[in-house]
Amino acid sequence: MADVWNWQLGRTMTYPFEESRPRRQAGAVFDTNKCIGCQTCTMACKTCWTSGVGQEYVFWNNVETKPWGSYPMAWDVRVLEQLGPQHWADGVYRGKTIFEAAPPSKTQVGWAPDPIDYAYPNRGEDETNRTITKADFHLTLPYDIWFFYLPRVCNHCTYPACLQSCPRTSIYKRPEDGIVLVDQQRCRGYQVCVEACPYKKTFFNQATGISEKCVFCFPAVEQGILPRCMRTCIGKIRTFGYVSTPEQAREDNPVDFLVHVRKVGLPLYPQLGLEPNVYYIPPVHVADEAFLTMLFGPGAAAAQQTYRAAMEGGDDELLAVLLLNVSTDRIITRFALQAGVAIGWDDNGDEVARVPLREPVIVRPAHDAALSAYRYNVP
Amino acid sequence: MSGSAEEPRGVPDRRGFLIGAGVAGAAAVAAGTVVLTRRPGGPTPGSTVHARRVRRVSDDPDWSGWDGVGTTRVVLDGQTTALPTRARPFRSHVEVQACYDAEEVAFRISWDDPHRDDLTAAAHRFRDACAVLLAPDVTDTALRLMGSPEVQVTLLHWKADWQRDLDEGRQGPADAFPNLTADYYPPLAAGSGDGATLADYAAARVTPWTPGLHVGNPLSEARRITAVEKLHAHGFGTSEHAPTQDARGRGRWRDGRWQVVLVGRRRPADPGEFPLRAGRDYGMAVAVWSGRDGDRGGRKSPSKDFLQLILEP
Ligand code: SF4
Ligand code: SF4
Repeated sequence: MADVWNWQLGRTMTYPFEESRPRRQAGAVFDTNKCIGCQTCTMACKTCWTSGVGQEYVFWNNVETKPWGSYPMAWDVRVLEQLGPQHWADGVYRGKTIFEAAPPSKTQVGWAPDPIDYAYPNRGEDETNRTITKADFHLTLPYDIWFFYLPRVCNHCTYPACLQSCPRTSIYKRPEDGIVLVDQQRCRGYQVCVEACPYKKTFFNQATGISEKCVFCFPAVEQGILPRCMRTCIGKIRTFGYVSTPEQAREDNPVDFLVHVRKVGLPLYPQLGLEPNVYYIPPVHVADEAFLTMLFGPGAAAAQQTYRAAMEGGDDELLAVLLLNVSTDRIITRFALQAGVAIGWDDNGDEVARVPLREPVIVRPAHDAALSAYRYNVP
Repeated sequence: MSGSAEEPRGVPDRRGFLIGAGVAGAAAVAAGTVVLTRRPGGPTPGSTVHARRVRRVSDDPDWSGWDGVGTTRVVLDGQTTALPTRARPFRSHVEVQACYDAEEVAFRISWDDPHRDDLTAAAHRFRDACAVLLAPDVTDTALRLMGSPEVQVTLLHWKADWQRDLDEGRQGPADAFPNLTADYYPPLAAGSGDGATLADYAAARVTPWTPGLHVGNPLSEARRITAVEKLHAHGFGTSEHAPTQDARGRGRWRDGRWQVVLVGRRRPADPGEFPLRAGRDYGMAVAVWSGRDGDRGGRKSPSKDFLQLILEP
């Protein structure tokens, strides 16, 4: 075991391999406030990568409704309960990661889903929490009336649990972009990675008998194009690009801006210790701070405030980054706000997107005198 | 270990016994005066597996010829050297027999297992399996760790699910989920839904939709040709599918007991392989996997000691 630095935990942690960061790390920020749960991303991925025989239950991208939804069944609570207490103090995680909580016979804690655990990908969809207050019917639930959508893909972690668990070293992390892949030639279908990945984002192919996982659409990414789930996102919630470590963050990099500068992009279950590279803007309407801290770490409440302030007109730069989301198929690696317009450039330095922060508002009278007709708002 | 408790009294330390036997055997071969004893009939407690010369080996577990071949009771152990581990063996022992003819050497491994785990076309369903490891040098006990960077070992690995594929047709999700229904699997033709198989993808030349098959992973082959895979290894976690697949075999589960025959070629076919010569001894180990217990890869019950395989002259 080596001691490695995990900036999301604010401390070093143990991991079976030395720290070895890629030359740059592909990553994304998902704005949960804008996700409408349409599952277009899920289907875009499914039809592209996992529509073959044996992949019936495989969703590299899934969207679940929190707090009740989960795919596979109870993926998060089943690993969290193995960690023990998960306290944060002054931004430093004081509990154990999945690697630190490991029994001697393993390098991490984990659990293996049964086929039935994959059978209900939409379990809990759109379920709210209503506290029943009628006197003779009183029931107290842990959450108030709210829900939000949590779209999930592989996090292409800095410290992948899948990679370190594989006894055949069939999983590797690409030095050029940090994308984590399963070598389809080398894998023997032991599914140790399926057990190890706490996010449950490696899957067993029931026909080929080996494991597969999200590839972050590397053939597209290599050409500077967004992964399919991001490109097709109806709610335009997804910022894709490259995430730096805090010391190397660049203010004009959209992902760095959201994660390191404004700190609205937060890791999912950082306490697991994988330094995941897909970040989430927490839902601003959820008042349960304990729940959000459990999901996104101690920065959740501050992120909500920062985001709210931007929406109320107090932070045009943040607005600019969010408006550039999915405004082009090209990966934006630099942005600027110029005269009320958000501009995005790709890796080649070519301008690939230009979005005005505010559209002009035109008010027309309800009655069109020239045509002698009334105007209606027809969607 | 529970396995040690099963060992008969009076047998000297197995490693010392094994090494002593190997050196003595080598010296005798050098002197050209090999006198090796065979012990037919009931199980013998030693760490030596005597391969008897027969006219023609058979891969049938019920072949009558096995009755005339001595049986070695091989004590099993857990596997705690490499993760994932198995602290205790699945069974205290297995019974091993061996014979050979001009071309091949055959092993029959028998062990009790109340469950037949041969359906693996669903997440976290693992196979029963057994394997024979063959090493060129019986004195080099380091080779029991599946070879070394310098010395390649050969593995014959029988898989219960491959056996089922051969006996009942290549299994797929429709076997694991009998009520599975699908309209169609693009880009196969409409109506391809229920019961689509890897062979359909191969026939339609659209294997990119089945990645393991597309890249030629042996686990993913559309049609099985053998239940025994030949592998080479240079240490733990290094096993590789051998370029020449010339092993065969057959397993049968009956009344809570597996009997599995693994047959390998005596002549080397691939780089790093060694010939199995009559009158010589070799290093050998066996292992069994219990699918129901989550055994796969390094999680197995290997023989406690390195065995001596003697091809009787
Ligand atoms: S999310 Fe899971 S599958 Fe993806 S890199 Fe991390 S540990 Fe591996
Ligand atoms: S496509 Fe976008 S908006 Fe629709 S479910 Fe996926 S992430 Fe949410």
